[in-house]
Amino acid sequence: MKICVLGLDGAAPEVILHDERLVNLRRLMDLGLYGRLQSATTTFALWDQLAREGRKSIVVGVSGKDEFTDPASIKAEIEQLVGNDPVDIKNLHTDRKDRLRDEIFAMSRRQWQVVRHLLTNHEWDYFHFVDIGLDPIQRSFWNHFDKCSAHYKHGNPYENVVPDYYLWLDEQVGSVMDLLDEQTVLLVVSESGVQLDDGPNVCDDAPDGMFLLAAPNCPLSGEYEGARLLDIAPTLLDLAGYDIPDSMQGRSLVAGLEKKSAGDGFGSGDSEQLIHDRLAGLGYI
Amino acid sequence: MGKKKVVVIGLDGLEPSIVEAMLAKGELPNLARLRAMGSYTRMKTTYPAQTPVAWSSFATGVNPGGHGIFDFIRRDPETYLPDLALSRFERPKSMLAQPKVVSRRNGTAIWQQLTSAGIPSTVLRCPCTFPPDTIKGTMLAGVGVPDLRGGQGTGTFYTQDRNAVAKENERLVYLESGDNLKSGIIGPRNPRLNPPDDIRCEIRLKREGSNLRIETGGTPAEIEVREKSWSPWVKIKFKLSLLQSIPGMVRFYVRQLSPVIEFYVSPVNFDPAVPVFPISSPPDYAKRLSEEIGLFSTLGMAEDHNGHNNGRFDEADYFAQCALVYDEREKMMEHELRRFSEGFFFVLFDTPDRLQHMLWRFRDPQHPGFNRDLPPEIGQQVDVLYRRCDETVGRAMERVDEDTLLIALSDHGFNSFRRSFHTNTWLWQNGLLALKGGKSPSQEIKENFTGVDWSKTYAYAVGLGGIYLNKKGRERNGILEEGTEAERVRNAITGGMAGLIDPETHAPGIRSVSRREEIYSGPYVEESPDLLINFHPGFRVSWETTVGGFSHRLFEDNTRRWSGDHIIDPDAVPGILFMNQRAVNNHANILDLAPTILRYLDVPPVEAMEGKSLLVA
Repeated sequence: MKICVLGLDGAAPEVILHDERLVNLRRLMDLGLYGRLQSATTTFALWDQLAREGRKSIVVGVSGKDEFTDPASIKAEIEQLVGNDPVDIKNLHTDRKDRLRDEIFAMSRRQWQVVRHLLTNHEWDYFHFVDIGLDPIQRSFWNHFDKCSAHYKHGNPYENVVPDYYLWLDEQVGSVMDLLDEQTVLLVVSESGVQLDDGPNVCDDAPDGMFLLAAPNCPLSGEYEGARLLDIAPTLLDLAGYDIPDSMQGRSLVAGLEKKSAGDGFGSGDSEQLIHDRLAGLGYI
Repeated sequence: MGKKKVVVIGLDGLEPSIVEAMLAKGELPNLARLRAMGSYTRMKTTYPAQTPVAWSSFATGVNPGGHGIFDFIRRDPETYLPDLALSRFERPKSMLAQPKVVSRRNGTAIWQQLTSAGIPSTVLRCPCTFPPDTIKGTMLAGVGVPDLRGGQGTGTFYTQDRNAVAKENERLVYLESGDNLKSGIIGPRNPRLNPPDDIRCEIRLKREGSNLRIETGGTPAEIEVREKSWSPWVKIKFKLSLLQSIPGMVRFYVRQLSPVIEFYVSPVNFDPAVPVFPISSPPDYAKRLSEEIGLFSTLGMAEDHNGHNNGRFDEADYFAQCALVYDEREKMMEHELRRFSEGFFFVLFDTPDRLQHMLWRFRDPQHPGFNRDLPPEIGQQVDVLYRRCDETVGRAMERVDEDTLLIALSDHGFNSFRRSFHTNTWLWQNGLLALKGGKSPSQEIKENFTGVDWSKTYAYAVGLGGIYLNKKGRERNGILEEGTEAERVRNAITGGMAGLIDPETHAPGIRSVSRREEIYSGPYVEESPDLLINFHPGFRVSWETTVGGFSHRLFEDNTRRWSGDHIIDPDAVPGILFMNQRAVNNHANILDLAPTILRYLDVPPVEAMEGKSLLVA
């Protein structure tokens, strides 16, 4: 089975769990397994692992990789698609907040366009993308949104920038959900919650992240408590049918559980009734 | 000179003979003024003369063969079963994907051509714009938008009368006895339950004098509805799971509070702020509009003919509900016209069509549903509404300048629906359709071709006037080869039905039968019925035939409240066309409108467009 990872770094469980307008994320949570994620100092990455198995990976926007896009051969294709604009925001501390917001949205729009293009037009076994807009949005606008923040001013013009960005991400995740086939494990993951330069939660431990996981064969559903970031990689390998190397620290959240056969519990429904319902109330009949 | 603009006011189903008589009596002053400024003519409509078909030809300037909308109803050649023809569901390709709705209307609409030319449009409630086209400007979808259950409108009737039974297309809920009640609004089906079941939204009710107090569980949280009146819109949410809910909105109607409590809940409309499927372009336009002018019906067929047809509210309260819809639409029109400054504007008022369907019997002494004892004021509501339409045109006239082409038109006229014709019974009688085990048609075969022996069937009828051949390679159990054999069947039907007389009334029932190649051309002709019946005024295809049913008789009285119709020979039900400009001739065709509008805006029409501009210069 294929694995698709969408990283929403910095996404706060508080926002995702409480904003019911995030309909696609909620649909995903309803379909699969989700929960808070105890953060770790390491991030997770599976491309090396899968490369050893001879599998094809596409990686976009993951910091720490030398290039933002891997393999490098598709870089030219991307430039043709969305141009060669920088995938980084230079100055977060500008006073020109409107422009900053628009720039971040524009950058994210280009990135998700690339994601949809690559998902559709390239072969892949492992796809890993990290949205790089949420972190700067939160660093610049969280205090305008969070009523508990000391800097929060009621009725300020940037009150909705953060929730609007989550709504935007929700739409993007929904658009990717529409593209994936039945043989895919989808993970939406925030490796840690909101991190601010001057926020109230500056402490040693990074705040909790969150994961949303759906796979046609996943034996568990609903909220999962006590998951760690370390557990995510083995869980993905487990669901996708790969061996879990002994060197991996975490453990699969579905270890030892019998996988469902894909397609179970997703009946086509009573289509005759559905069609009948469509004509109900037409008047002419 | 300012920017050139076109404003089109669509008045669905306005009948020329009524309009002309009222004009002669001076009852439609604004339309008379429009005629004096420019022109009035009767306008030829499409085959068949049907709302979605005609407005799609209006929008695209091509005959139905060029846009693919031939009827409200199509049939699936794999199953022979009827389905809605305006849009289709696309099955999601995985459990993660969402089901999609795709419009079946093809061709290039006026607003799509204008978008290519960089000119904006405002299109309000045009039929067959669901899901909406992405355009420069704004669009709100019309006929074709479903309710939350996926149909064209299913209401729910609540009663303490244990003997009550559910009628056509409605849900029935029994209430406990007493004055303090608990019940639920029926929402969409939850597909994840096995077996699938409806999601309900709890409500509490209390009788207080001549009011029903309702705790809605939504917004507003509590309302009081007087006996024989409609509530404002109430927003509600149906809980699909802990995390997901499906938003919608309803109106309540209180039928009576004694001796037993009875009330009605409208079909659950999409909430324009959070529609389940997109109903506007851009997608958030519906939300913004509802914030600006208040909530409005989103259901395609917003006038609740169904609840009235079932007798859940009488004529007066049907008028009241229609008036609510009309008011919403007029508010929408005025709001948008106020800020309209460039390009194309369209708004459709559906109400005249829906009102005439239900009231025609009061205006036709020969109708089987006519009753001399009924007050004549009811039938006169049609005239009242025509005058209201005239006022609406007057309001639009106030808002346009000298650089605006103003058009008021109807897509088809209206006539009486006294007698119905059972096409499938005729086909059976003439040896073209066979029933299994040598059975004969009876009232029991109400729908879905139950008991039809496809291996011996050459033709079948489903939808509003169409007949399909049972063709090899197309229909699942097709037996008819194209060529002499198929031609023989076509000839048998066209020759046998043309001039058919109703044996009971001795009136001619069918004028002719058209072959599709005579009336359609273009890339979608293959999807049309093979033959189309052109009825004489007074006749229509029977209720049973539309959904693949039979009767033991060939012709029958139409006893429903739905007593007027227009799906007859299109030449007998032309539309009306008023313009504030002179027209080149007085035989306009609905296909001429798109070229006329584009010509005025200096945009060359796409080659496919069949009509000609009606403008003099």
